[in-house]
Amino acid sequence: MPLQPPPHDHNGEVVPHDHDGINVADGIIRRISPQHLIYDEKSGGMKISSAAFNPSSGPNGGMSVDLQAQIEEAGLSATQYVTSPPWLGSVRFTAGSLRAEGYQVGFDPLADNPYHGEVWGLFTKSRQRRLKQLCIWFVPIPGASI
Amino acid sequence: MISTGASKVSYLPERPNIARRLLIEPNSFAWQDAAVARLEELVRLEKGWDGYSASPVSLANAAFALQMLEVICGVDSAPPQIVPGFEGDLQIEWHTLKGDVELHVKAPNDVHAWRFDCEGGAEEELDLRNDFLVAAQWVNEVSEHPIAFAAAAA
Repeated sequence: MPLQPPPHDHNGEVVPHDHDGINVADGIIRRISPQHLIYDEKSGGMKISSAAFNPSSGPNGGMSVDLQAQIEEAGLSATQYVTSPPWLGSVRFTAGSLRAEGYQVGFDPLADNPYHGEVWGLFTKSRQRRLKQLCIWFVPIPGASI
Repeated sequence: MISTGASKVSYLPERPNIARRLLIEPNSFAWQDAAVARLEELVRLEKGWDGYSASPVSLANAAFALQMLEVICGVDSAPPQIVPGFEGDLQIEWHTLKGDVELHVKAPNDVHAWRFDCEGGAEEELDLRNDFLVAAQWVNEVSEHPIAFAAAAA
């Protein structure tokens, strides 16, 4: 079932919200660019930088995500959809795990991505480290860990 | 080319105690060429490089980051790793056996600094403007070779 439109402010911007139509078990996918891989001496391998889990700035700024259930309800393959351009990897949260950490998970459809969502909340360094613990690879980048 | 114009001055006396020439040579640290090349790559990223709508790193932030690195890093510092932010910002990171340091350059003179000490398990976060002494100390600490560190601690 399509999601209800999100709430907007007087400037037409989507305001932070927790969307009722996004269920706790729904996949919340965050694309990961190889630009965000860094080498860690401790593990002896590549891992994802905390910079990959920063929100955009501004009063309504959240972390961009893709809503897996909505992609698949449209008859598309979520792995193919989020792997465009083809060199991107991605990680997957559940909406419930993000909400349990105090984040809001909302719907923010864009002209070029109708399944675009946002995650709003605090993104301090310790919280970014926690986010890395909450997610698993959805489309792995070979040789890299989370 | 991204450059801060930093340089060193050499005195080359032709005769003892009489300086005849002042040569200006570019500073050269082991990490510097790679950092400049990486910054040049990041300012050339295409819009949407992250799969969403991210911008390339701004030239102002890249130039500031290089200036900051020149005051933070010594000759023997572990090489920095540089990753882009989503809105022209960037992050400089060190992840060694001793610990982790991340400097998020949000804008020139607007840096959020974080470090994790692997030995004590302590985390610190602070905002920096134009005094980067703390960041230099952090980078020096995570750059220390484990053997040298162990000897100093003994």
